[in-house]
Amino acid sequence: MLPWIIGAAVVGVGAYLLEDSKSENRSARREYNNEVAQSKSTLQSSFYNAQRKDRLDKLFKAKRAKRKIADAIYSELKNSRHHYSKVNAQLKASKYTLDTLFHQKKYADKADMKRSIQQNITIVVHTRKELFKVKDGISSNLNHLKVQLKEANMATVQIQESINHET
Amino acid sequence: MMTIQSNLPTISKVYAPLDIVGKTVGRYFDYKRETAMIEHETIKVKQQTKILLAEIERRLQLSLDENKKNFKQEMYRLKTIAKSLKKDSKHRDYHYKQIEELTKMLSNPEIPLSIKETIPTLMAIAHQSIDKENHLAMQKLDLMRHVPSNQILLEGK
Repeated sequence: MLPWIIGAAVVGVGAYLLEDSKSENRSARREYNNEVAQSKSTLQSSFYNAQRKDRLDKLFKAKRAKRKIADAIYSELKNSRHHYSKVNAQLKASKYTLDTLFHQKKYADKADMKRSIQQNITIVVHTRKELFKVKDGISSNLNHLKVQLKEANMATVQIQESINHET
Repeated sequence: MMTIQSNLPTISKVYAPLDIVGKTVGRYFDYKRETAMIEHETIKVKQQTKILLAEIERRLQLSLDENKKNFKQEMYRLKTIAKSLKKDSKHRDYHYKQIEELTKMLSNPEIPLSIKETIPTLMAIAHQSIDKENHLAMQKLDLMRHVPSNQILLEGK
């Protein structure tokens, strides 16, 4: 009888140990699978975050650089506008001088006087021609600068949109 | 010969239980070994994840440093050109001032005609200088714009 009892006990203990190691194995496998899945997701999100951080950093820096360019263009534009108005004022002043000279010439009675006034008129006319050339130069400069400023601002806006999209 | 064989107990009858025990013990150790291997692999995955995370962090830092360097260089370039533009603008201001003075001279009756005669020429010279300065300013602005900052900063040099 005893051998049977011992035999049954041995079988029972053996079956228990086997089942225990089986379940230990299952749980280790489950833990491994969880770890792999978690690692994948951690690495993916970390990689994505790193990429995003890098891209945002680049975008912010690009925006600052673009702004610097736009500032330089705006400064040139402001100067050109200032000079344009100054040259316009000079054209007006010279027109007034010219009108005065014509008026003087009209009422001058001596030929010498008339000749001298005419010489003056010629000088003013030539000077005005040059002034108009200066004005035209500034005008074309202004147009060019306006286009450039628009482009620079557009570029800054595009970068800002990309930043908004990223954040 | 036949008698001896028939008297021997069959192998399966005697060894079958031992065989089962042996197989069971074998399976037990197989499971144990496999579990140890899986645990080892799990630890390896954890370690590799840590290493890869550190690598991602390191590469990000490298990229950020590179961005910083590129940005510094780009800003230095832009600031240098902007400074030069400001300097040029002072020269231009001087020429515009000249033009203003020359225009004022036109209406001044005290200035002799012989001197006034030089005004258009002087004006043309000032105009030429301004044109040159403007052209130079445009070239400098193009230099600022035509190496697009975002290209340098977003894609690297």
